[in-house]
Amino acid sequence: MKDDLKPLFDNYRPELGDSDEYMLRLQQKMALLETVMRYADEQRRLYRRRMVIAFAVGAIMGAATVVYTLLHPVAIQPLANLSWLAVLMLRLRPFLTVLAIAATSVGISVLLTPQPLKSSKVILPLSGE
Amino acid sequence: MTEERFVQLVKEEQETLRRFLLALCGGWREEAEDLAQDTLLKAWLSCSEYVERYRFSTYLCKIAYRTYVDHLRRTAHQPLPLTESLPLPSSDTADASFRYERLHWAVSQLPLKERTAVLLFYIEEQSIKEIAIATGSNVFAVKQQLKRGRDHLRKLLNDER
Repeated sequence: MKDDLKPLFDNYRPELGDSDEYMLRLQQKMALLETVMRYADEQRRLYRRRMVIAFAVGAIMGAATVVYTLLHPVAIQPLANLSWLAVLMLRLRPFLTVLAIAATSVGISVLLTPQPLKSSKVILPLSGE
Repeated sequence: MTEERFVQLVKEEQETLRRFLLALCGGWREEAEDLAQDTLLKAWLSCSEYVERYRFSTYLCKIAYRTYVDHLRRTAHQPLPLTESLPLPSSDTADASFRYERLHWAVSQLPLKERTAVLLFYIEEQSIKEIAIATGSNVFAVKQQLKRGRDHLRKLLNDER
């Protein structure tokens, strides 16, 4: 059976502009996109490194705190009167204290990191509508 | 896929893709050109996902369709300015530009799935299976959409005459 719509679309040749110019613009955008992606990757790597450093620093500080509380129980006793958190800290198991301080350290780093760096996902369009 | 290879493939396909998107957008050139650029950039970003056993044009159509659907969602709540309302069909059939206007108008009246199936079939010359891949439908559904789309399009074009 003859398809009467086919000739209609076969003859559909709207003016689209110069193809070479179009390809040139596309390649320029691709280059721009590469630059943005590289920058985003670099920022993401830096962000991860900062998180690891923050965790390590927090863990060391936590370990130091635990050691200090074990060695000088009297020195931190007045803290128990200050707040429930201090009491909790004193009563927590040593490794939990270390983790808590490390997590706090990471949390502070996350809060201080600008939002766009937390995710490097590039959202199109880049052309700016 | 290397950049050279990607650019080479795009060179071969970009005109058909742009024609497809222009028709899909009902003749809105700027919108279609932006979508075509977005499609090609997305294709470049995710070209590692391209499976060689399918045609490159099918891969592009799949991304173009998703990009268009996302675009529709983004602009769904934005009313058209009065100066940009859809063109009304006219009875003058003399010049070529009007012939496209009539076709654009008729195509834009079709539901999205039917419109996509018809345009992919006729402009992109995709098979039923390839259309199913591009639109994320199954073969049976695409056959139905294509049949309904053709019937609707014929009716619209004939009624308008």
